[in-house]
Amino acid sequence: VGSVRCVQETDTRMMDIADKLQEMSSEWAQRGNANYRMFKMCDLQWTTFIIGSEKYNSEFEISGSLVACACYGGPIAVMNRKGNFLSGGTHLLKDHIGIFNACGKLTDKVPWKEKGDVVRLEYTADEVLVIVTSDGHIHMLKPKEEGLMVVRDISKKIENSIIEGAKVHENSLLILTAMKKIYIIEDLNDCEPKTICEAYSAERSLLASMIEEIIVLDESISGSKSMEILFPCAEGGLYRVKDGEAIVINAIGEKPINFEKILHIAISPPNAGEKKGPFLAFFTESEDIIIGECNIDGGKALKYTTDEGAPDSLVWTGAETVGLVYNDRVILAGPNNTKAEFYVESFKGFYCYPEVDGIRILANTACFFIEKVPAVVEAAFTPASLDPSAHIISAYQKYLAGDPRAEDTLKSIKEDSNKSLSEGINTLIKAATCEFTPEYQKYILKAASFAKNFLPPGQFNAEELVQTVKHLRIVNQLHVQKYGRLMTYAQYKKLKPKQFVKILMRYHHHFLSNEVYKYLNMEDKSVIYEDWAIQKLRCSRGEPEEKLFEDIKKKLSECPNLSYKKIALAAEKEGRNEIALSLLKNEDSIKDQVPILLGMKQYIPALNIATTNCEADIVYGIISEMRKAEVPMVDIISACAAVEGAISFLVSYAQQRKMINPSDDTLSSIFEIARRLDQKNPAHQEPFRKLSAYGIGEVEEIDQLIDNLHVVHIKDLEKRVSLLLTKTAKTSFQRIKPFIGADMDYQLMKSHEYLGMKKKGTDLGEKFLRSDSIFNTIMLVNEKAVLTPIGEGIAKKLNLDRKQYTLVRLRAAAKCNDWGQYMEIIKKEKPKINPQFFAQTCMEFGNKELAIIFIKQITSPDDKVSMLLDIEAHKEAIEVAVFAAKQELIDEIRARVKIDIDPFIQEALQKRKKQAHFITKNY
Amino acid sequence: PFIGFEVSFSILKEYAKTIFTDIIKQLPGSKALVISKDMHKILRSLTPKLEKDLFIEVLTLTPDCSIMTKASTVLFVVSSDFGFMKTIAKIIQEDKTKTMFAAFICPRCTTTTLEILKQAKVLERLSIFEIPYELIPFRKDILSLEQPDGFHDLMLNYNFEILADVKNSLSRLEYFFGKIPLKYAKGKWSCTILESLMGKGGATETENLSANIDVLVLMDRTVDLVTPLLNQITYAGLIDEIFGIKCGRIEVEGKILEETSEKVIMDLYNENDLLFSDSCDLNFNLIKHYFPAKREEMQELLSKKGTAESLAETKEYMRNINSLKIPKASAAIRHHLSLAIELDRIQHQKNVQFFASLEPYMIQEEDLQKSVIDKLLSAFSLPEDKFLILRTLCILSQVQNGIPKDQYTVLLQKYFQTFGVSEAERIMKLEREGLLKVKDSSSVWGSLRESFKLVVPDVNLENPADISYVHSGYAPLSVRLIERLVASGWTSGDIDKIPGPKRVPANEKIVLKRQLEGMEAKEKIRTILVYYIGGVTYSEISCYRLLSTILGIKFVVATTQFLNGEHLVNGFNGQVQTIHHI
Repeated sequence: VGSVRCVQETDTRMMDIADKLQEMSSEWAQRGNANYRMFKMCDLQWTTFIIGSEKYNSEFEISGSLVACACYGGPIAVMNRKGNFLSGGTHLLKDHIGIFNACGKLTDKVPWKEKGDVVRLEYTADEVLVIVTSDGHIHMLKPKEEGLMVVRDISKKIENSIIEGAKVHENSLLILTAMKKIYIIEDLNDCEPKTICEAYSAERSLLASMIEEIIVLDESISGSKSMEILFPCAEGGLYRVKDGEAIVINAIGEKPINFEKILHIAISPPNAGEKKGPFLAFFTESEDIIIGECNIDGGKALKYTTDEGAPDSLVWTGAETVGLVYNDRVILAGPNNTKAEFYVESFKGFYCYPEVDGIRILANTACFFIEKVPAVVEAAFTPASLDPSAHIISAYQKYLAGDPRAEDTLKSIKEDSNKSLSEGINTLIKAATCEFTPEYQKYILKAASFAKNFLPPGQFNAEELVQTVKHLRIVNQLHVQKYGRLMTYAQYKKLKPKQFVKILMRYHHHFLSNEVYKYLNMEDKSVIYEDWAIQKLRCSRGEPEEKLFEDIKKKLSECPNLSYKKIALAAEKEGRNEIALSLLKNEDSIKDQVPILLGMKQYIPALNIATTNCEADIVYGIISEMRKAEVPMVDIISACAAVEGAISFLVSYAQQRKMINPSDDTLSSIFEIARRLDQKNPAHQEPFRKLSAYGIGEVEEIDQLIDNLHVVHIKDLEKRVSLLLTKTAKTSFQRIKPFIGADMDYQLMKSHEYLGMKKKGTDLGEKFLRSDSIFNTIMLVNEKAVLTPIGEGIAKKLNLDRKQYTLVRLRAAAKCNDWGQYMEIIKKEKPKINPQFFAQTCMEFGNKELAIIFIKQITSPDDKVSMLLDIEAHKEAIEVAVFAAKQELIDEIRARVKIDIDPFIQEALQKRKKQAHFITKNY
Repeated sequence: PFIGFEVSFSILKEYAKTIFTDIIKQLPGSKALVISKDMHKILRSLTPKLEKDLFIEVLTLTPDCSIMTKASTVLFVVSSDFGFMKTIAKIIQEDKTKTMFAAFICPRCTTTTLEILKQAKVLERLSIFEIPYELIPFRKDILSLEQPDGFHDLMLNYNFEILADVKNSLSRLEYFFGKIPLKYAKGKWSCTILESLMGKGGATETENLSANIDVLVLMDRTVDLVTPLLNQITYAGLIDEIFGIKCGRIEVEGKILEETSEKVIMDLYNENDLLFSDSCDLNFNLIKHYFPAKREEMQELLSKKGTAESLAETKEYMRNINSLKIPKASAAIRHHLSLAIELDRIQHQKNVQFFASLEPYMIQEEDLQKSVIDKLLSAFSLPEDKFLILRTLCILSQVQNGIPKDQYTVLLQKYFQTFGVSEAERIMKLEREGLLKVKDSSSVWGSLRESFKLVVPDVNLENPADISYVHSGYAPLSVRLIERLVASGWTSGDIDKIPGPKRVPANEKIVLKRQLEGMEAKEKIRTILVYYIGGVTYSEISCYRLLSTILGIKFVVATTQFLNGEHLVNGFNGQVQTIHHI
């Protein structure tokens, strides 16, 4: 029984709605062929703040306030023109800006104590509230920043000129100064004004009351394909700023329509309609309305007159028609005196905001919306409409009333064709989306659903219906107080899902965003999770670190492919360094990790990441950063020592510095410090151990010393000697002392000898000093017979190997072609040396005869032949081969020699024969 | 992914070329390219006809900072070398005209580079672009970063920028050819790169049978330092030892090649030079017969001219003629013959022979190694022997894990007496990096030699069946490691005897086998990419070519640079960083 009654009750309510819908068209206003309607979006309850509590204030004076609205049914900012906030009551809070959601709920209040006049209060496309004051200050309030107003002073950048006008265009800001200059700030974060027009004509000035009437035409829409700025000038005409120049124009359109003084201008919202482009509207002093395309010189334009008198402002209804706003009504005026008129009930004025599909009106007690009645709604609800959708509505009404004719009505449509019935259903689905009230939507959809039952299975694709319901649910959800966003379905559809989520994310509506993603089957929820985590970090100031991290970690694990960079950065900002570090471990890109770590002065983890990824560039960057931050070198060394492999990078870094700038002392200071490190200090042990593995500069120092020797020894001998005697030299050479100890002594000796030679006048010149090895020196002195004793002295003093010494002397003699001396040394020293060496020396220095003598002393015939061939002693070579009786040697000679060798062979054979004969004969 | 096709690396070239030319085309006004000497070769390999393709004036960057051009934009093309940056900065500072400047830095602009330009205050007038061209494909199976100082930068200067280049190049390879399912690393640097490449957590390996590159092996040069120190005797290896191959080219004195010009540049990877690609992997002992035989073959073919009777024979004749590219080929044969004669002459020099004769002893048993020291001590050293001595000492230190202290002292004393105290720094750096050392513990070389069969007696040079042919009986350890990987994976303990950490994919055994098997069924060429961090020798590349034919797996070698023994020891010359002299 309960359920029956319940059904009956529901049906009664539905009947009520049906009645209302039937009467809906009676509230439409006709203008020409088009219908317009105004409906209430919601009740507004402007709250004012009285210390400690919020209070509803129905006497809020809109006309006395500055109001800004964010698009797509976004929030509202209000401040009093006189500086007092909401002066309607007696307990009103002074000196504040009120931020309300679209439903009128106070969400934030920002103290306002600035002295400068407010030139502009406006929202950017990203819903940043911008307040420009005449003294050159720009105040910005990001959504959900809880009263954290960012203030930028640009007065110096605009030559300390007073700001007369400002206008937000998308996310940039246009500024007009009293010096008649126009600037644009493209990025509000860095607030760098760029001049776009040096000075517009000084004779014609801008009307102070028209400062708000500035229009910016983007490159994409302007006729000139470059940015244009339009604003009316007091003396008549319109300033048109283009390519840095401002000219006054008095006509618009390819068939020029002339105008004189313009009172108001307005541009229709971008992407508003399917029709071409945004449109311009002007209201002139002579009460003409001019509508034109943005292509001012070449576009179409039309002009018509109205007798309603000058309005307070102009506002576009989507891209459909232009509305004239008066103190109590909005008139949509068309050509030929056609008009649609809507009275707005409000205490003191109201505010109109042009949305992409209509006008949002803020009044004292309610928010209204004026729009063109969509064609689908007209089809379904115009009285006596013949559209199938109208029949369905009628049938459904009958069905609800228990009227058996309902079925007949539907059948009559069906008889026309199944197609028209399904068309009717589709029209209704669309019509449902055009209604703002959920009950209306529900009713119309139910009607559609009812009609669907009359179609044969498979005739109707329900997907459209399902999707529409999903989208409607999302949109309706926005209208509840919690979200407070009066976005229409048409506006919602204009946005791409990602843009829509972006809007939600501005207000950290994570749950709703998540639902949207689910509904629309969208993947990659990282944006939502990222923002959630950041908000979590911001809002959990008192929470213990460990728990907070666990919470965040748990949640974020639901979302793969998440970038942790921003979250870590937020954690760092909140002073949660531990969390930031742990989060960063999940970040893949090291280029993202390192800057954050550096920001936190976490050098060791940064070095660790960069070294394990072998990103030399980044390691150098970190070291540079540490030096910039004036971290002492000892600490840099310690940090590098703590990371496997980082010391190598440090040394390499220092070497590179030296390459770039030879006077850079990083390298030497590293080694200097390393030497001073206290090995007993546990903290220093590791750095010391690592650096000593690189020789602590030992090699570099020796290099330096040798360099010095090379430079000094030519110019200043005394200095050279002293250099060699320094303690550094001795200790530096300590390690290689066993090998070059003799060499060092020799260097000293050489220097002394040089001085001696100079005195005696037997100077070998710098060649002597430049000779950098002992053997070279001995070679040199042996070239001059007088100096031989010097060589002898060096050899003795340095205790050189006698055989080696003899070999050097032999080479020296050969080099001087002093073969007499050569043979004498051999005779005298009788060195135990392979004749091969002598032969080679002779060959090298061109004594072929002597070479042959020595070659003949070699025992191996193979070697003999090969060497004889090298000096082209063919005959001798063949002789050796024949005497050794080795056919393969003869073959080799034949292969290597180009001449005919047979005669030589014969000769050798003869010789051998003779010798054999001789031997046989004698023995 | 091109399943079933051979991986073609020319896409790397095309990509860099497109980016480079697109940017140039977008820049307004008349343009002049000012190219540093080292970039000339690289750029020409991208677009051989720069001037024609881009309607652009081409100049060379000179250290005197003068540019004679009327172009409104000057574009520098350089590597990220300090010397070049300073020159560029100076040019811009001294320029008083309204010329616009841009710099193309290949492959990337480093922080230090930027800093130099920043300090010189020229960044306002200079736009910077990067040419994303890390790995230069020389042949189908060779890719090189062409950073000649790479090994020494890593070893001596701890300049790990090159590791970032390696990492970037690998990411680019994966971008073009898909994820490489199996990745191995041996050595400190390689493991670092691999770890950073795999990212945190280390993605687990699973087989992917349609991958273009099946296995990646990253290997530090330090894993096997003996091989580059040994004298190379393959044709390509020997050319590199004597003439130094740079960017696939060598510069030879004209008289050696019997040409009138003073210098001749031979482009070894020129597509017309089929001779080199056929002969580069041959052991030099065979080259003596190879070129004359080729010449005869060609002469025989030419003598058949006009003897063809049927159309089919004529066609066959023409095909043969075309395949030989007669006019160019005959010049190439002449050049290669001359080159071979010169190489042979140098090989026969007594000192070269002396040191070459020591090599077989050094890689053998310890007793034989000791005899080498005696021989070294008794020999007299000529100035030109410096690097040969150092190479020998380094090999000894490597295989014996150091030279006994007494002998070490005497050897070095002699070294300093001959070459002077200015060698101190080189010796100290070699010591510091462990290339030269005093023996302190026993060596693992003997057991490595046994377990990896590094020494193989009786090699067939003509029809080699084992990679040891490249060193006439010694098989490079690094290549043996790869052979081991294909045969049984790296999980076994032998690998750990070689110094340096390793990184082996989890459940390697199952995945590796699956990845490398089923070739025929899938009709896909299995590819293994071996990436040498610190350089590869031409002999090792020859080994991989042989392995490809033996195992039926395609081996591609990527490297930071090409290395030989002289380059290796010479690089320790004490300069902090080699500046390319313009």
